[in-house]
Amino acid sequence: MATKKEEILAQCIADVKAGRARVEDCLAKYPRWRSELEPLLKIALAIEPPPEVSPSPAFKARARARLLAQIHAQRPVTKERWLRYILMKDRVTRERRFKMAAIVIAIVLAVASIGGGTAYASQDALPGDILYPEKTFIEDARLFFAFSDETKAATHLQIADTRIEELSRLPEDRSGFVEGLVEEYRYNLERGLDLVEQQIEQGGNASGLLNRFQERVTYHQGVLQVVCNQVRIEARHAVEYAINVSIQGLERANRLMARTHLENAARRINQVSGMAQAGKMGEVIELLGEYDEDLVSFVETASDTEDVEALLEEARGRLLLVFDQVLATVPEQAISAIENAKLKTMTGFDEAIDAVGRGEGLNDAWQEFEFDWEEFMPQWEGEIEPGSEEWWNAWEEFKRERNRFRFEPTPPIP
Amino acid sequence: MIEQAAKGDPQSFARLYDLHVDRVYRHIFYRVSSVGVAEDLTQEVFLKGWQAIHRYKRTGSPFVAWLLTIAHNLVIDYYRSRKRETSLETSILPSDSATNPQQIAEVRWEQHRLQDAIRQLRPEQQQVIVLHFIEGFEYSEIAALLGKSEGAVRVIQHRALKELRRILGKEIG
Repeated sequence: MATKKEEILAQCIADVKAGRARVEDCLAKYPRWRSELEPLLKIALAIEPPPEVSPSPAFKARARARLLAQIHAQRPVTKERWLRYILMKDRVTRERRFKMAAIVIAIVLAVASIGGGTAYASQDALPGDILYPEKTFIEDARLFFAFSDETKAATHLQIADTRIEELSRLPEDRSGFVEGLVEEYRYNLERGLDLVEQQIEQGGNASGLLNRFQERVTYHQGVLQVVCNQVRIEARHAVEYAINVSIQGLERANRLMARTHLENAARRINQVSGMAQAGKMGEVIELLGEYDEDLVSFVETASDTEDVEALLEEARGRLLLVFDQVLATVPEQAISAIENAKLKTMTGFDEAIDAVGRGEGLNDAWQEFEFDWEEFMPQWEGEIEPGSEEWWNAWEEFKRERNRFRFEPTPPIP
Repeated sequence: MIEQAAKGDPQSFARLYDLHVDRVYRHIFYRVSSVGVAEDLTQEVFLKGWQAIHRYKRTGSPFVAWLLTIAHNLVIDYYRSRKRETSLETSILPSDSATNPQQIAEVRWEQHRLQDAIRQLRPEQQQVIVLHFIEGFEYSEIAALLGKSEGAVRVIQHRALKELRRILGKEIG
């Protein structure tokens, strides 16, 4: 039962919020409760509804499509109520929460109850078919049992593939399902790429997986273009959106691939350091050659992205740091070779960034700096006597090259 | 529409989703401050809503309030099941009245403190504060929703505000 002070507080809050009174008016009206009312009123009035925080339209559409899919996936009530619950549960929740044992039992029972043949037959099902919920359930199970990020990402890509395939086969009278399929496509593509990105951030090599994403998403774009010309006018907007999603997906996959090449290049420089310290100069040369290939791959991939300039800047900074760390640790005899590599890299990036700024082709700019690493290495192999005429000729040539690169070399002491 | 949905019509329930998804999301987001969690829980609210809609009875509180009760329970479960995550970067934006960066920062900070303090209240107190001050429900509606008298709701509100005062210390008041 509310006492007087609780009623007074509620009344004061209502009056002040409605503009019928000010805080001071209320406090003056109830002087006996003033000391208690005042701080509580201030706190109450400080609680404001948050500004319009809205879910993204993409989320709303995705959640709606899933909700309807889950509703349609419901089975008649059976005595296995817990199984029905699992079948109805939302995909995200299931991934997050379900205990392994429950899922194992559910799948065993589900397969046993529907029969393997039905599960197989469901693979061709389209939205609206009686077996379609079975198909999505199997997809969910595959996702759940994909334990590594790599397998999960590959599974998401396969599901995205399936949605595209379904879109291409969807009869005209089922165009009401297009929006949901597109949303599922977007979700799986983005989730897959999220996982790839996560893998890269954790130092994993995802280049094989990224290649598949690039290849598949390029294929999706082609299929979607065809679908776009065939679907009913009311579904066309959704397909255009899917095309946009796939373009963005490819762009993201390209960016991630460029980063992978960059990390490979950085790793290669670190390997150079190890080999140089071990005095294996032959391997150093070989690794520098591979490093050059990494850089070419990086530039080629980066040039396919919209963020090419930012990627080049990032790569320049990243490699500069690696080179400086390596140069601080390698033995004297390897410094010149690694400095060359650094010089070439930095100059190459400068030129490439300039080329992008001028709107020119990046690959052409980069190829200008094709460089034979072995050209300046013979002194380490003992082929040229330091201080000999041949040695000085090589040095002059090296200087000319360096001048091309706009850096002033420090003269060697033979 | 609610009756049709309760009879098992998915399209009617989908329309209820369209009507209320923003509000349910906002309610959850206010209490978890994470886009990802708010999205997950919002989906779950509607799924649970669909599963339980036959149990929904008109009690004098709006349908959305019933959904918010489901949301409230899910948020409580969420905090029970995992450590609270406080992702503040996307949470509360400054109010329109704040115009310069310092004001904006102050408002943002104050709202964060309040939001954080509300999360420390007991579940029932949280529910009353959020439903009344954030969602704007009347005491009568909250009372119907919680199956309590209006007087009891005012008592909970009073205790909640006192608790907030204690949590926030002397900085407000």
